[in-house]
Amino acid sequence: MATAIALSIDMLSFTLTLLLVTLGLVVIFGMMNVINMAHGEFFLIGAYAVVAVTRAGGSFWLGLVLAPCLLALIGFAVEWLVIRHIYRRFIDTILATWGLSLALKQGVILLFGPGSQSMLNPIPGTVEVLGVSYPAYRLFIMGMGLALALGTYWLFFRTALGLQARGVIANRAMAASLGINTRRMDWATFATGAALAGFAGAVMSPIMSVDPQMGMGFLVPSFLAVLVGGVNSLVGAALGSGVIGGTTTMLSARLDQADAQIVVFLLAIMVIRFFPQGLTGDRR
Amino acid sequence: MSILSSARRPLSRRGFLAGGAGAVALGLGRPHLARAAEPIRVGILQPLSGGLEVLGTQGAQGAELALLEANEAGGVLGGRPFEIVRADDRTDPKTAVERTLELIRRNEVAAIVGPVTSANRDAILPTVRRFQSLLLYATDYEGGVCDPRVFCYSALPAHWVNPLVPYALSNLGKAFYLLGSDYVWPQKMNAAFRAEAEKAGGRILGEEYAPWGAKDYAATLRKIESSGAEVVVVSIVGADAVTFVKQFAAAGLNKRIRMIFFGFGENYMAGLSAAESEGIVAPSDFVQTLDKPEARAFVAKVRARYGAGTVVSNTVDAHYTLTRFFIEGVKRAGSVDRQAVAKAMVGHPLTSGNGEVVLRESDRHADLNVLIVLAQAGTLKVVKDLGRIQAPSQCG
Repeated sequence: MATAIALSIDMLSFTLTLLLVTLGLVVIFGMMNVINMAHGEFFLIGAYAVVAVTRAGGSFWLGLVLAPCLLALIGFAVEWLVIRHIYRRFIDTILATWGLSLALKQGVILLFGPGSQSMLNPIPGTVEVLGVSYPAYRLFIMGMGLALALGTYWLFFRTALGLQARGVIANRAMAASLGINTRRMDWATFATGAALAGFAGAVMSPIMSVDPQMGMGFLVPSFLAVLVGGVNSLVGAALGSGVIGGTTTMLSARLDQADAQIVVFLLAIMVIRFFPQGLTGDRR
Repeated sequence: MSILSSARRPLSRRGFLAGGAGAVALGLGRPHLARAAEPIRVGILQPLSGGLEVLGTQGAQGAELALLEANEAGGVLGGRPFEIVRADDRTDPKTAVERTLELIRRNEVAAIVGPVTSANRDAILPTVRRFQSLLLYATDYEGGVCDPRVFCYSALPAHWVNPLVPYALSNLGKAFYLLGSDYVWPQKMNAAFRAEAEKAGGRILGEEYAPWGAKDYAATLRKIESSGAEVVVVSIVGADAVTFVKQFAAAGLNKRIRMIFFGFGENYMAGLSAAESEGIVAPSDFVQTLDKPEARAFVAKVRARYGAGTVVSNTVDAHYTLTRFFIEGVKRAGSVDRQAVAKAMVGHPLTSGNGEVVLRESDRHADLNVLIVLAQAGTLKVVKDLGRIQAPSQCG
């Protein structure tokens, strides 16, 4: 019984972690339809922002607040300088953002060096949850994932602003003719996605290696989660994160982690084959 | 840019001339220098980008230091200086092959120092063989390279596992869980560990491999915990290992389960807090805190050239020492003829950063002096000096 509870919490933990990392991608890739190869670098810069703040004597929590603000600015700049010129050029987007990702990564290497940065765990220790001792910081991450997912959902689906943003994405001409400033919506949405990615990087920094390659590792499962769950849907992203994160953890309990990953990838390929629009997508 | 002469640092006049000569040689043909002063080019093929920059930079520093020292001492073979040609393999096998070809054919190097990964080494071996160049490989690896042109200053599984197992059994515990990255080196290390431990009465409760770039070890940590293991034996490499140690500590397992970590050293310490690395046990052939005269002298020498904060890991020491074997080989052979140098490199002892070492004639590998180190309050403490460990010949 205790193992079952532990396994359930582990599954929930990785699912929510993945959801946290995927949220920014849902906004930029899922909603705006921009394949942003620099998404991992937004994540990376978020983590390094916390490192920089703590180095300068600030607390981890201050870093956690400043990281998404910094990334919102970077997101705004990137949208204005690069993305807005290539919204309708799908393939060019991949190339441009890939170049951007290289530049951002090298920038981080120039500033901080290529090695891993040490980062203190702000909430060390473990907490008893249903008879299972669990790392306190992981519980914090889970809470953040959940809160942020709900917050994003609320922002895009329960506010007038979110409605306008989705309106611009769905039908730009119509939205413009209704008096919505579509340009402002574009950069605001992109900056929100970037801020979410940066926040995820900041939150994850204490329990993973903070190094210039750290963005890559999450990019693949995040894209998979979005594709499996269904593009253009927050519920889909949650579902996709559950499928990818949950099954990875569940299989890893029995198999080698390396083998579990192969099975998960096969599973994802099958889902995408039979549900090309994702699990929540249109089934025509 | 693949060609970077040593002009980045303050240089002796001779070194400056050598670098200048190289630049001219590239574009305009060789200047008319006296034959005696013709530089001997050495290629430093290291990952200077692409993920392993830390190791690449340190490897390059070690090799460069040895060559610059030789230049400052007046060069070899009656005043010929070494010229350093740096090449970046971008941690990628295909690039490594291209750079190797360039080094051999365009730069006509006498030897190549590097690369780091086994994948890159195996990728360039056919090229090295075809052009009968010399390869100086100074990274720990799984063993099995037997080539008259390849010299390995590397800790093999036997160097680390064989002496470590008895230490672990009497000091850490008898029940082990083996965990590595999913490729050849961890698998060979674990096979060696399993064989040695079971022979000596230890128990292996689990053996597992994690994919590259794994970010969540919750399930693995759970398995380690429920297996009842007293010691987890880690051969995960790079950033993944830092992630694992962080999550191991966050789960509070470091209070109950000891950790042996193959390949652990100063570079990993930088990514971990003192609390996270506390208690990690590792075999190593050199640490910068080693309290021996030759180690102190070496650390001082590296820091004098590259700055007081420079990390002097076993990578620096290994590349420095192996490059010195080459320099001594050239001196002894009295020429840069590769066959003569290769013959002159083996069988003669040299003082490394940790005791005397020698390249064996049988397989051109070095038998290393092995230490057992313990991470304590953010530094590495030597808990046992095992002296020279003999590995079986890799040609057989």
